[in-house]
Amino acid sequence: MAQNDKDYAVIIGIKSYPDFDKDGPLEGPENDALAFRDWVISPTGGNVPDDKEHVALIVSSKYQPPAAIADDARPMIIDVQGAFEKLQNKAEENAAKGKGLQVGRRLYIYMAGHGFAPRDDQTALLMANATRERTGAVYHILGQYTADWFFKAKYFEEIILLMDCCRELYPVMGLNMSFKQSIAPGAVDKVKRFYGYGTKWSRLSREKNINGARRGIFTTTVIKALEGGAVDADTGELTAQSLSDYLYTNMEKLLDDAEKKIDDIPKEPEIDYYPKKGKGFVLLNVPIPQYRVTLSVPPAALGKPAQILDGAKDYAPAETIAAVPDPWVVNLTRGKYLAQVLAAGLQKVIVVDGTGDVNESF
Amino acid sequence: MKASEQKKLNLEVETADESAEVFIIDGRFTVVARGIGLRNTFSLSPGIYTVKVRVGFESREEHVVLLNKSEKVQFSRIHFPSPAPLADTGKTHEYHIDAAASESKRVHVNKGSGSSIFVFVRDWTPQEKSAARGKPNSKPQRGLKLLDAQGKVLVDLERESLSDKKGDPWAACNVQLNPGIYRLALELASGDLIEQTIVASKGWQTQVFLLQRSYGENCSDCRADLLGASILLSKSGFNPDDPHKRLVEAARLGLVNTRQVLPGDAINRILNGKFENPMLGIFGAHLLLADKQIKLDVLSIVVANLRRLLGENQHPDVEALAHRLGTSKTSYIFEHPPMLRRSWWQIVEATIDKQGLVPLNSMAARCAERIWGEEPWLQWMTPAQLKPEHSVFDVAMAFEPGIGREAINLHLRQLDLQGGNAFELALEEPPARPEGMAKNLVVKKKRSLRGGKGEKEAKTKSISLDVPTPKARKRKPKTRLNKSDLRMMVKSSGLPRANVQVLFDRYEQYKAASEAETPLDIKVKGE
Repeated sequence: MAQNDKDYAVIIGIKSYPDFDKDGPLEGPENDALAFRDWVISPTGGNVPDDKEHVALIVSSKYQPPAAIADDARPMIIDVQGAFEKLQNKAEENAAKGKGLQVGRRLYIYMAGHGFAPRDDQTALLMANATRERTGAVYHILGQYTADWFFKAKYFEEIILLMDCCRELYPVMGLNMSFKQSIAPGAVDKVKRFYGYGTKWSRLSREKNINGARRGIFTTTVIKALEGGAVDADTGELTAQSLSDYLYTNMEKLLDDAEKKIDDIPKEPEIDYYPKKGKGFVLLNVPIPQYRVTLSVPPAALGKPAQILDGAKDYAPAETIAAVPDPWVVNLTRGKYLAQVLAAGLQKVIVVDGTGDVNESF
Repeated sequence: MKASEQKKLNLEVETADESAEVFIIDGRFTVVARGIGLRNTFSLSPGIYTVKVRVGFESREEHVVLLNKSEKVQFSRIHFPSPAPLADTGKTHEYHIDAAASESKRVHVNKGSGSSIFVFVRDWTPQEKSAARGKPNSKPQRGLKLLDAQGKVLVDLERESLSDKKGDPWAACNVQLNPGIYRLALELASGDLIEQTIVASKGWQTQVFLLQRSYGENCSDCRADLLGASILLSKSGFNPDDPHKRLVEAARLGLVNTRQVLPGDAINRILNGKFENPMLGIFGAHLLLADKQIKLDVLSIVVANLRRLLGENQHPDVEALAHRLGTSKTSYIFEHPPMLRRSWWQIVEATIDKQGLVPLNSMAARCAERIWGEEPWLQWMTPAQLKPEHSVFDVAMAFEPGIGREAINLHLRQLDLQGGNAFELALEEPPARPEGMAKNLVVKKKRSLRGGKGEKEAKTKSISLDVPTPKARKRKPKTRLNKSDLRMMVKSSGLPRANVQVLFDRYEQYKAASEAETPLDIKVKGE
């Protein structure tokens, strides 16, 4: 399959902050950034060419040895802003070649690390050399401002912004709004955007051990969604709307019961996308995954006819069996189903939410 | 045509909260319908749906099978957590409810007449004890003070509150006072001070409810949670069963979550100016503005009603809303910060066109340099080592040594991107920090960042801070930014126009001194 060589990505994961690490280091941001990069370059994922021109990966471990003091810590703003300036340069090169002031089709922007919200409409990712007294313009990058800059300049047709940061409380010292504004006619209506934020976590709650690694809950849910969990089971399309709905519904599922009771741990992300009509826009087409469903059947129902009806398709039968065994194992696509053994008077709602295999019983 | 395309069935959802958000999620996990309020009826095709009801941060779900007849789902009241001990909320005890209701009707401290501020602070520990949570804070009011507009301590709430240490302790203090602007201040274990404006309006009791939060790693770092404060207005004490209070609380959480959570009839009441609870009007206006559900002519009705309830030119948050109608719609000058962050950012933006809106040496200008916290309240932090009576200059250049530099660097970066010369103002820390907080400022000349080959230190000059003596100037510094530069610097720095102008004037002076190549003998204020 041809690669998406008109797509680009800037992926930032900062785990080492000398000034903040004495309160306990974050491990997840770099793991999350690498996982997202893997999806971006995967032939079954973003399918973006895995080269420096297309994918800028900026993670703490790239800068060795790790800095002992904040003043020397990287990545700094010049490392991160430089990646975006390269894209701006590319647009100018294309314009000089007569190709128009544009870069490509889609831009992925991913940011993970310590963050704060200086305004209600802006979330910032702090640079490695930030401190509690230094959070101003040269110590952070603004997610929405940066994504908005590229959408207003119409350098891309689609902008995907994902931020997975823990929320800190710092003095507001001025925002990094350092790109000279460039507004292209028609950008507001033409450029498609998907902005997703998991940015209200406290340091403790942002991440947990998932499959043996420290991972952010928001990013883990995003990648599950992009790998097929959020695909429309009827069309195979993963749209802005289906991604948004998946994230709203499933992020909480990675929390245990005790975590769900803690107010500081957000249960939902913040999502915004455009256009909002219908399903938004199609992010990608993915083979429709199936999930193994294991249904325990009581003795009274064994051997009787059973059905699993699709609750989204007018109760059309998804599975039918003349004599139901125990357990009854089927493969179903994501959706809500009604399992029934009418002869035994049994009915059960089965929810296949796309997070994994399902075990149920009547 | 399929049967489902012809047949629609009703799904009726009943909740117990006016501000409950209702989501209907279909068999493909798509949100197909939404509603707000006590009763919503949805017309749907047969299928399996999930009904999700949410109030504040709490939600409940139920699956519904719509097969061949209409269905009804009922949700009991959701006990969302609230610092105000309202009935049917989470994180409260009966004795907290009783104490808040009874103490709000007593006067504990008399400092005037016409208004009152009631502060009720408590701890709440979950039944399931955890090592992280530890024991309840026996003095939940520790470090709390009520200040007057000039910053003088009016009431030491830590000492003058009535308290009860049994169970989850609480402390209450109802202060009778003159209408006006006050500040609630919290001193942390570190010595840092967090403050916010509390407005006492004529004929109203302003009720401030607080739980606890940890501001550090130790139990001794636990203090009142100002960030999560619930602030209500009442004419007759605290009524835990008042449904309007519950709606106001939900609206506050809507601001925190940036979600419009007001039901249709509440919106109509707000838009028609027929609300009697001012906080509902203020929160509601902001929610509707954020959701683009309110036009300016309707906003003027809301503002008019708020002024009727709270007085004209009396409440900074009401007058901040008036500014959305145009700068001529209010003559209010913001000497003091408002209560809400959203009000503040509106005011800051308004200073672009109206410089004197936030006077330079006002409390509002000083706190602009130290904004802290998050939605919805505007709070500012004064660190322990800074004397609160320092002027905005010292605050800018000493406490926040970066802020002047950041604002200036921002401007420099703009110049750089436009191909101008780039300067970076770097700060050299002296080995010890004397009382006057003197600093040395080193000016380095850099190559342009775009297309440059790296940093080249062409020239360095050491300059100490403050106003240069006139003879050192070779050229007269520019004293006014153009409108476009001003807009950019106000928006990016978050500072009112007068503050920005001061910082830029300093930059001009530094540039002049550098070009003059004349060492300056400059003293820092206070030395």
